Amino acid sequence: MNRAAWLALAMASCAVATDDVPATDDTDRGDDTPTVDPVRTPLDPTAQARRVSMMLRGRPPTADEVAEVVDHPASLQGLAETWVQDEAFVETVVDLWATSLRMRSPDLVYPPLGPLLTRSTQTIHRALAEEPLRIVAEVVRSDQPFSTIVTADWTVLDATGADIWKAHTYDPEGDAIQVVSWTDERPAAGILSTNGLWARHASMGANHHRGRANVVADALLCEDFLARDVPISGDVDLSDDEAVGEAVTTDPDCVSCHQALDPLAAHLWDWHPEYTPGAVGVAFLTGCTTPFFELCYPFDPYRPEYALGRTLLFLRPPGYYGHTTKDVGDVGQAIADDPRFASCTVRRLWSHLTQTPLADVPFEPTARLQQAFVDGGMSLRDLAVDIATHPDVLAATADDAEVALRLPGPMIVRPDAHARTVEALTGFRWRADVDELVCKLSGIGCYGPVDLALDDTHGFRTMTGGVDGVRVTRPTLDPTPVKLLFAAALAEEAAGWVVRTELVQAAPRRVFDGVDDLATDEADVRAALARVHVNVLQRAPTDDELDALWALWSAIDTDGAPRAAWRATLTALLQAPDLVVY
Amino acid sequence: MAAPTRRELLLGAAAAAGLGLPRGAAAALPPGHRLIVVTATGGWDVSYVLDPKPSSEHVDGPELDEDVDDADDREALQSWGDLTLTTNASRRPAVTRFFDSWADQSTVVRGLWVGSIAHDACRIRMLTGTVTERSPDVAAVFGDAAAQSRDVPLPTLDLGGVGYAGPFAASNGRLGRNRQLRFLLDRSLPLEAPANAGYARSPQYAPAGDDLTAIQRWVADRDRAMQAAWADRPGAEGRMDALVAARARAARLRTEGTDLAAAMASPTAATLRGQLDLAVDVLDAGLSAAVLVDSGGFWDTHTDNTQQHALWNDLFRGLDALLTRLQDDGTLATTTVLVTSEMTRTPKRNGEGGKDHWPVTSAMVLGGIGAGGRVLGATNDRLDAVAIDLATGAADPKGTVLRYDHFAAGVLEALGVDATAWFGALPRLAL
Repeated sequence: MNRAAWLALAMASCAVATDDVPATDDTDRGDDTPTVDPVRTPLDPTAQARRVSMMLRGRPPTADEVAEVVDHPASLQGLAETWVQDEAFVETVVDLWATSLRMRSPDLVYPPLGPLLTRSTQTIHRALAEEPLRIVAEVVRSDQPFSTIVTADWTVLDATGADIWKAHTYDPEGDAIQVVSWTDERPAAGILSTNGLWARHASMGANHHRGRANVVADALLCEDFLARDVPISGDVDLSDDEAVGEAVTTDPDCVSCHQALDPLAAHLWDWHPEYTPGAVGVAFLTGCTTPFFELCYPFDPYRPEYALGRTLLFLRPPGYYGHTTKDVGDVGQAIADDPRFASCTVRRLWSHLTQTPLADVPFEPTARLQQAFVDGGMSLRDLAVDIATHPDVLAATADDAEVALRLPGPMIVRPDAHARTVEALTGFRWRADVDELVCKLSGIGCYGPVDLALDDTHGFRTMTGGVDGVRVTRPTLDPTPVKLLFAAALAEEAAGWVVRTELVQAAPRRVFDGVDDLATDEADVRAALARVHVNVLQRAPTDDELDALWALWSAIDTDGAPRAAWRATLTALLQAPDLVVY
Repeated sequence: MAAPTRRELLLGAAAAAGLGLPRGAAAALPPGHRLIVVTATGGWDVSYVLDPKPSSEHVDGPELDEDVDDADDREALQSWGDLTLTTNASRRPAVTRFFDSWADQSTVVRGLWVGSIAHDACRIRMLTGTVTERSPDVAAVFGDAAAQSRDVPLPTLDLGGVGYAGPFAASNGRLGRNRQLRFLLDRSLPLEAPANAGYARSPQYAPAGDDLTAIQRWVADRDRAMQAAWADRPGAEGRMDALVAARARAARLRTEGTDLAAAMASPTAATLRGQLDLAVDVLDAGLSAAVLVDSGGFWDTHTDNTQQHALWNDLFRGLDALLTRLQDDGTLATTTVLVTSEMTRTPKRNGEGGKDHWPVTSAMVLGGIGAGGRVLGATNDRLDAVAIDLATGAADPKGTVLRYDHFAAGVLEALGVDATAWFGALPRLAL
């Protein structure tokens, strides 16, 4: 189906469905009275502000921002437009693409040899895993058309990446992380022409880059070939290239996928199939001499002559879903022009922000958003604002059964957002040093400082619902016992740190701003508790909530030191469900 | 008129479709039963043990690896009742030892079609019986069902990091790659901070006793208040219920999991033997009803298939120790051990002496529910699945090819879990 036909279908579907969506009355814009929605009951303004801020920035709104929305509900739109300019929004989008591209596998590490001898495991991992994600970040940060992620003629490298890869313009005297160009004449295809993406998705043996092609189709077009059952009989010897080659071109069961998958895969022969750590180690041990010189840093992975292997095996020629494409640059442009890319981008962002499984993303609102996304020049910022402020997203309930079914349910804070939230409220980030003595003495063999919320090897990201892209490929969004054990530990650490720094060391106050922490008289303590409640949860407590806080504060064995009670109370507040559910 | 809640809408839709809620009822669950799932991640070569093909010209079996100068290095077919398997006294002695002791506790399932030749896709299918990781694996379903009838704070524990919690996340937990769960269970364990962190080490604060109880009670009360306030919101019921349940479980783990945290501290806890010991500790302590374990080792032998000898040997050595401990503890009859791999290797070796991916594998069911000493399912001399009668497991041209969903549904039913919610009226393999 061509693009025009697809859009016509989408718009026709929209037309059928528009009855249940109230038309926007422009005269209401800027008015403090929200548009009356005959179908949906909106969340209260505080909940709306909290939800939109958490969706876009992964941290709660400030008390002032909440007050602004409460006083002027229409101001939420403007705030959302401001929030997407925040670096935290970039991190939100990068988290989505780290999941879609499965980039953050802890196994993605090259040996610390040669110029990498003193680089930590995490440094090397980040240099590889973050390269394509930094392109996504740069596109979002500078609000370029989102299709730039597959058409850009630049990449983003750090110093370690610059040492791993050949043929780029990284300046050792410049910033640590730089936008650079490749000098090996590789086609401009954004993330598709990065080395990092293909380092993560290596191609083994007789796979012939089909796994890589599926990553492209799945992440960018929402077409996951692996979701289909593969009917294979013993008539096909999968260890025999020739037999497989015959089957994928003649066996109808195989052809249905491979006629689309294999031409896409054909383009990816241009990248080295796999740098295995063992082979790299042997190469260095042997002095990087022939035949191992290619396996020593800096690697030179883009070599169009690798495609000769495909020709010799008589595999399908390159192409893009029936269209002739000469290189991966053409593929990137074809993807950018493919309505499925816009559709997939909209659905993925809706899915990520509203925590709706991709397969359950409702057609009606996303079809309309897709049109606006394309017409508006593919600004991911605008799209995110449109999603976060969509009437479905801001609704508490709906009378219409069909609309009610598609309303997003309560959302659960993700690991990265949880860490960002606690840091925004307290200034605390939980980190650990897991390195052994040999690292400390020699600087070799180090893992590096660990951010416990964001690390999968020594930290708790996948244990608390996150994705490592290799063993855990989908987020767990329901609260789990381990997630809440972590929440408790993080709250305790943050509370201990805040009480020490703000109350003992007299650092500038944020949690205890405006609080008399030495008060012991009930009325004074209640006033202080109410203030801390606002500082942590951005709203005043109800009378019942204040009673409960007072009961907690009073129950703590302080031995005459109210700071112990404040530490325990803050530990509780930082675990409040208000910071977990939105 | 009050707006329908999402639950009501979903119930209505489910009722209209003739489906139940997605939860495995525990109607026939054996009292106190436990489940250990062991996965050989990467894809084992079943011709080395479970599905012998010594005379097939279409299958390159382990006999290709024999050392002509070593008289002991010979592949053999060895039988224990109805179980006939491939053994090698020199390279895989643990296999023989295992079946000498435990053949009567072992059911081998052959000819299991997994529907894909990609690792992730196959792992999802084998563990969940479906094509999506949104579905729970059999351990998660069993753990949740068990928790309906007995008091377990963490119904399913994933030691190997290979499982899928699906909608049962609130009853599921992961150990972590470096067993870091211990730092959450026992908050007195020290963690050094990096030089520029602004503090020397954790814990900076670790409440205990009455203080901890007071904090936990306050948080639980706030959870319940929010649960009540959000009751009418679409989709709120499931997530808010999960929050309340998971918080209660977390609180119990904090008070009851300290001893296990000490067990997790041992570096051997990451090995197969260590994981299996830890699994039994967790089950014996009543903390969990189901545990997932990863066998470790690099089973994905695209080059040099001879590595499969040591992998199988290590696997059976671990399983032997596990069943011995269960036997000694008197819990073998109430503990089912499911041993799987997401796929097997191709019948023939490739140009690099390795084997690629093949979508017809085998599995084992040990102890517990398994009648033992038998083989279900079959393959032909090309290692292709042949049709079987799912009720008997015997080859039957009029039957059906055994698929991953038949198998998963059969495992759950044999464990006493009503799998209708997940698999409807799909025929099950009778275990």
